[in-house]
Amino acid sequence: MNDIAIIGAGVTGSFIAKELSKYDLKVLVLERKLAPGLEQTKACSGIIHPFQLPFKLLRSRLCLEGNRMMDAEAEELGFQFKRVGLITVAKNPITFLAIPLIILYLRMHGVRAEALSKKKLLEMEPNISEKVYGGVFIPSAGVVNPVEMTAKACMFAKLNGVEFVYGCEVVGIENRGDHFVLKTKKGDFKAKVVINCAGIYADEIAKMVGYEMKIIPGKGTHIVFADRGFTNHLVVAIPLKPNKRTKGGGALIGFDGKPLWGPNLVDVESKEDTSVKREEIEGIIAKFSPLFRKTPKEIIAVYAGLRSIAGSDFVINEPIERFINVAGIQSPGLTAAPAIAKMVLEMVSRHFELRRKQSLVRPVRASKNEESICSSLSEDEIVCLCNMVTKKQILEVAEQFKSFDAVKQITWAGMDCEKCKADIMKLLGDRILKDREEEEIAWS
Amino acid sequence: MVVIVGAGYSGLLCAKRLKERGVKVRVFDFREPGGELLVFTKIPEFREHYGKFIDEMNSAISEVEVERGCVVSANPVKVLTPMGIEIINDSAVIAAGAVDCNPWTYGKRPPGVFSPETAIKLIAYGYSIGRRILLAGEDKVLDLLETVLGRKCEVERTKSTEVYVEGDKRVQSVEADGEEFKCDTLILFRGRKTFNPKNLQGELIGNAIVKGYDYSSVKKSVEDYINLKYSR
Repeated sequence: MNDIAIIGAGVTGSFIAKELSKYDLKVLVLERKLAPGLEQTKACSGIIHPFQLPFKLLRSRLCLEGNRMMDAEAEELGFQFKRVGLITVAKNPITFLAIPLIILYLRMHGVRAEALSKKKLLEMEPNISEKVYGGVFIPSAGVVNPVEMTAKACMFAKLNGVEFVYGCEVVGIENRGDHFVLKTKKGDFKAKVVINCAGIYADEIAKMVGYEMKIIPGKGTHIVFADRGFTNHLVVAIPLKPNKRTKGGGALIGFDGKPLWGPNLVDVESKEDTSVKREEIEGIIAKFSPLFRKTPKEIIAVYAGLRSIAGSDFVINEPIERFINVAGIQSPGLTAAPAIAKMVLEMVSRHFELRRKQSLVRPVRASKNEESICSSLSEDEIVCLCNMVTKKQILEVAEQFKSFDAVKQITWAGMDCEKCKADIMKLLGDRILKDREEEEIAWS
Repeated sequence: MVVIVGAGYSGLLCAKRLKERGVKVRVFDFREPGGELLVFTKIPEFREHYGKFIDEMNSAISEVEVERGCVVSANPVKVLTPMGIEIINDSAVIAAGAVDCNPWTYGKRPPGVFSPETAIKLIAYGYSIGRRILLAGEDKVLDLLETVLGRKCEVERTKSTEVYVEGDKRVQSVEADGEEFKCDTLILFRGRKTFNPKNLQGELIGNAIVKGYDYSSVKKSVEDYINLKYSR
C-alpha cells in the first residue's frame, strides 16, 4: 500500500513528488508518457515569471512565492536557471506616462522594478525600435528548460525513494473508504491519498471519483529563431488594457538564448490539438516585430502546447476526503511549481504525521566547463556541438527514460541544427527501440 | 601557420594545397576526418555521384595530419583537446561545412519529418526511414535521394516547402500547394546554411560559403581561396 499516489509527472506532479520525497512516506508517481514533462510542460515557454496579475489570485501568490524559491530549487536539483530579466516597453505616450504607476504598483506587491529611459533601453537591447518611449526593467524574471527542470525534480525524488511508473495511464479509480485503487494497464495500484496532477486530463481523473470539473485546452503557439543574442532579456510591450486571460506572450528568449516569440492563446476543441496554423505564425511575427528594428534571422522551429484552463485560477482543493486536485495549472504553473508543492505538502500533513528523513541523497551534477569537456574528450565524444552534449550524457538520460523526445528535451542535444540528429537517433536506436511498446522514432 | 577548422572535403583539400606551397597547417576536427563525404561513401548512388571528390579527399587524408579537437573560439584560436585547452596565436580558416536548415512545418510535429541531411545519414547508418515518402523542395540532392529511396519505397515529390503535416505517432499525410499526399515520412529541404555553432570569426572556405550539395562549387571555392591568398 502506498501512502500517496501522484497522477502525472508534469512539472507540478514532479515537484510535489520531490517535496514529498523528503519525508518518511511511500510515494508512487504514475505517468502516461515514457518520461516526465513531455505533455504540457515541454511545450510551455520556459519563463519563470516575475508576477501574475491580478495579485489577489491564488496563482498570483504562488507565482511570487515560486519565483523567490527558484534559485534554491535550481541549486538543490541541479537544473539551469538564469534570471535574465524582463523589459516591458512603452510603445506610445499613454503607456509611457503609466510607467511610474506601474513601478509603484509592482513595488507595493514586492516586485522589484525600475524605470528605463529610451537611451538606457536601447543600450540594453540594441535591436529595439527607435520608436519606443521607454520601459520598465523587472530583474526577477528568468528562464529554464522546463523539461530539464521537471526531470531533475523526478531524479531527486527517485534517488530519495519515490517510485515512478511510466507508460502507465490511469483508466479508473475506486474509492475503498480508507484507500483508493488506481486501475491501469500495468495493474492496480493502492494508495491512501491520491494527488491529481493530470494536467489537461485532470477533469477526467476527477470524474473517476465523482467530482465534476471542466478543463478547457488553451493552445499557445511559439516560434524559435536561430539568431542567438537577438535580445538578451525577455521583451514585452506594456498593454494598453490588460487581457484577463493571457499575459499576451512576448519576444522571449529560451534558456539557451535563442529568440522564442509567443505564445498566443487560441481556444481549441480537442485536448490533442497542438497543430500550428500559418496564420498564427504570421500573427505572432506581426505582433512582436514592431518592437524591433528587424525580425530575427531564420525560423528553426514552430510548436504549440496546451494550457489546462479551469476558469481564471488554479484549482487546488480536496473535494473528496484524501483526493487532492492540483488542476487547471495554466500559466504561470512552471514558476509556481515549487510553491504549489509546499502548499500540497501542507494539505497532505492533515493525513500523515510527517517526519523529515534524516539524510537526503543529492543528485550528481554534470559539469559543462571547458576543462571537464577536455578531460572527457579522450574516452567520450561530443555529439552535439551547438550545445556541447557528449555521447555519455545522451546515453545516461536514455538509460533512465526510454524516449527519444526525453533525451532531446533534457540534454538539449540536436535542438539547434540538423548536424547531429541522425547521430542521436543512431545512438538511441537500439537502446530505445528494444524495450518499448509505443514507438516514437518509428523510422523503420 | 594556418589553423583549419574542420577536416571534411574543404578542410583537407585546403590543408593539402597549403602544404604543397610550404605553408604550415594544423587541422582540427571534433570527429573523425571525412565530413559528410564519408557518409556519402556508404550509399552506392551517392558514392558514384560524389566519387571524384571522395577520391580526392581520401588522397588528402593520407597526406594531412588531423588532430582531434573542438575549436571554441578564433582570434586567438582556442581548441579543446583530450590533452587540455590549447591556445594558438595564428589565424583560423573555417572549413566547417554546411548544415541543412531545420525542416520545420505547419500542423503537427509527429516523428517522420527529416531534412535531407538527416535522411541521408540514417540511410548510410542502415536504417530504412519510411515506406511512403514525400520529398519536398528543390535541389539535385533530392533527385539523388529519390533514386536511392525509390529502390524500396514509394516516393512522391512536391516543389513546395510550405507544408502542413498531419499525424500523431507518425506522419500520416502532408498538404502542400493545395494537394494532399498520403505518406509516413516527409523529407523537407529548406536550403543549407554555414555550420558554425561557436560563431567563429575567420575566413570561411568551401561548403561553409557555398552552402549546398554541389561539390564542384565547393572545390572551386577552396581553389579560389588558395589562388587568391597564395598565388606566386
